[in-house]
Amino acid sequence: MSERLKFFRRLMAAFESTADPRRAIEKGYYVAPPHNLIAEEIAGRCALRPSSAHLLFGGIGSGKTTQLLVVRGRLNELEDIHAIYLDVSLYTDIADLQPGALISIAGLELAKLLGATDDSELQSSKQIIEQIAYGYKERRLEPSLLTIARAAQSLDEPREVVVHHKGLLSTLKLKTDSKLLKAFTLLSQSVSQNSEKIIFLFDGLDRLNNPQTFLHSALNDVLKLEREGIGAVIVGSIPAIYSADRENIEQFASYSYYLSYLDPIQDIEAKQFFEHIFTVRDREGYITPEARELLIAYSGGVLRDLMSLTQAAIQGAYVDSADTIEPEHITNAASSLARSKLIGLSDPSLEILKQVMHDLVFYPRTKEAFQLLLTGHILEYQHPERCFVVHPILVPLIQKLTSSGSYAVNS
Amino acid sequence: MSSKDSWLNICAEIQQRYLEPTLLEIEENSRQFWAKILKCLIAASDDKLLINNQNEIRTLLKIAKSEVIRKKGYTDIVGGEKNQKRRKDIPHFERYDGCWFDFAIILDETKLPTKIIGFNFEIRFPENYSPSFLRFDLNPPAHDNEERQMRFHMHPGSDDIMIHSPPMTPIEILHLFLYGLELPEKPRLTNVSNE
Amino acid sequence: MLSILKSVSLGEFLQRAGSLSDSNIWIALVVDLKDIQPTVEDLQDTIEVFTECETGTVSGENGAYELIDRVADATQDYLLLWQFEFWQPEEWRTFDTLRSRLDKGKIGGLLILSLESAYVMLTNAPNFASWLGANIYTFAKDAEMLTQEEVEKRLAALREWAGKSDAEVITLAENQMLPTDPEYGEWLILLNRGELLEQQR
Repeated sequence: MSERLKFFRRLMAAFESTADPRRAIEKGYYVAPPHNLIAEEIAGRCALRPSSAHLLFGGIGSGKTTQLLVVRGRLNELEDIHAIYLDVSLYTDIADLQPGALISIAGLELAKLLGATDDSELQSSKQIIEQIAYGYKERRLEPSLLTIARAAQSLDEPREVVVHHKGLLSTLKLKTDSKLLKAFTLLSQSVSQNSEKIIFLFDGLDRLNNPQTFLHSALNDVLKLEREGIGAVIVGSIPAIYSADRENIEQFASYSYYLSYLDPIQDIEAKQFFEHIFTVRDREGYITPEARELLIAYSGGVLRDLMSLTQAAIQGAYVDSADTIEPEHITNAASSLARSKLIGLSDPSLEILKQVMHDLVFYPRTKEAFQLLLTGHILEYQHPERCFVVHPILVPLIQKLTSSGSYAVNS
Repeated sequence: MSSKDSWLNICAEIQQRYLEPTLLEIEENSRQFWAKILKCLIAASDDKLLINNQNEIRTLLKIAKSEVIRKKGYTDIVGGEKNQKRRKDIPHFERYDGCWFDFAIILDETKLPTKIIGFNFEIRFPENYSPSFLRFDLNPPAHDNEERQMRFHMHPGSDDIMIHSPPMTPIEILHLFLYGLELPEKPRLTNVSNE
Repeated sequence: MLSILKSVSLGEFLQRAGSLSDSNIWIALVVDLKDIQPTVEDLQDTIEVFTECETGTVSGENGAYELIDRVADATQDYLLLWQFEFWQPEEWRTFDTLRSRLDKGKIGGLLILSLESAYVMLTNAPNFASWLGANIYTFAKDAEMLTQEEVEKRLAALREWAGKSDAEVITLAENQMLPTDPEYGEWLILLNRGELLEQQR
């Protein structure tokens, strides 16, 4: 492999944004975002009240998972707290999240923590949790279905059938079993005997677009966990906080936090934050200050977009046989990202974007509007002042399409 | 037996040794082979051995096919435009030291494994250098015995003079052109005409 | 609308693939429906040359759950996912919510899909679309093939060199009297008469 290719691969890897954020943290790439130090705030409050519940909201690519992992790191530095990070989507289909599913997942983790045990009650609890989580087969006798007497007595004998009980952590529905909570309670008490407070960090639920499911499945479970003295930090989606269930949702949690995007132009601290990200990931300074500024501006303050743009620009420079990242590589990357963001937008959504660009105000009321917030087409900044803007990368393209009158999303 | 017959027999023997079946059979299909060549050229460009950038390399390295059924015909992999008159203004691959080359490779995929049935690779050296070019040819198989004896040959700076070529695959010849024919900083006196 | 995406040829895509490391990078290539199968075959053949790792192919023909399961079970470092043409929005939403399961700590993968499928994906899988970022391209199929103009240019050079016409070369080949220079072999292929090479043996 050529040295040049090796170098570019290393640089691409330094700006990864879709891999597990744990790797970026382990490599020392984490930079604490400015203003509300959310991770530190959550960790601090959990340390004081380990059995509290916290809700964390944020748009796609805002860094929620990274914040959860940082919280986990901070909490696990404390002697008497054990924080466990879980991506719920790895355990079950979030779209069909069942009441009790989070408790099952938490129970499975407690079982792992407990390890092997001679205590029969605990063994039984572990088994119950696994059965409810994954489903099980049960052999039982049922009366014969024949009602007509036949000569052969054997036809009237009960027959053995195998009944499949589906688990909670599957795609099919099942009622929550009160056995689950009892089993869970037993396990959590046993684990807590080591004087460690358990806190679960549930990730992935921001992909749950239905506020009702979030409320009745996820948050109800969190409430039950809290009653058992188990703390939780749970990630939620933006449509939930703008929905009619907002008050119901927020009252479940002791605290809620909003991880907003950062304004890289008006907010000086945000700009410094993004520049620092480049400093730690590109120590050799391959990406010039001018290139960094352009990338930051195009990103709109969306962390994942910044990483994606940077990677695309690096790759563009590589296939161009260029020795440095030129402005052309960055504008090409921005153009690609803008185009991919624009495709998939409905006409009503595009109209909302045009309106926000024109009026500079945004009042999310419709499903399309919430979706634009979730997907980062419209960005909410909170510093230096709260405002909504259309993602800067989209603006030139929308203006061009508007002036040419040729936009046809659905074609 | 006349001396010429002896020479023809010797040629046949040498040719037989050089043309071991496995040498000209490859595991890859033509697309994979093209990809391997592309990767080789890209690496040379990355290492600054070639002055062509990656975009140019993709423009120069192309494929032509003659097939009725997909992947079951004949393929021509070309590197650089056809340049029988050795004109430098015709697009080609060029090294950092001014040597420049092009090539064409013919593959037979009608039956597996894929066979290399012909190629020509020619590298031209900078002006005032002797020889002015080096060319490796593999002639496609022919029924004529006499023609068979020199299928695999090279031209050391002359289209008329050809000698048996050492057994090298196209990838090996490509590596030779990229890495193996380094021009000395101080050529030997017999090669220098400007002293 | 999808025509506004950047176009990449096979060669350029392979170079991009070659620059990737174990960063779970996902790319989507948009291909004309009729070209999906040959494109998948060409990519299967060539990706490994550049990524230097094993490539696996996973079909989406049986829906998102099965695709995700197969991805989870796959051992290869790079995965090529295809056959999304029957996926309804619900499948893409499922795919989106289970996105985390695609991250196996390896290089990542590639989706081959039609224009229509890409639109449905981008509309219904915003989390996965965020992973794709700028990595959505239309695929310039056969960009590595000589264009008709380029073929003609090569033929013109051969005619000038040999002092013969195409018809004369074909006649020579049909009569097994074709000279053995490799240029003549190339000539026949450019004329799409490669089968005449067999007759010269």
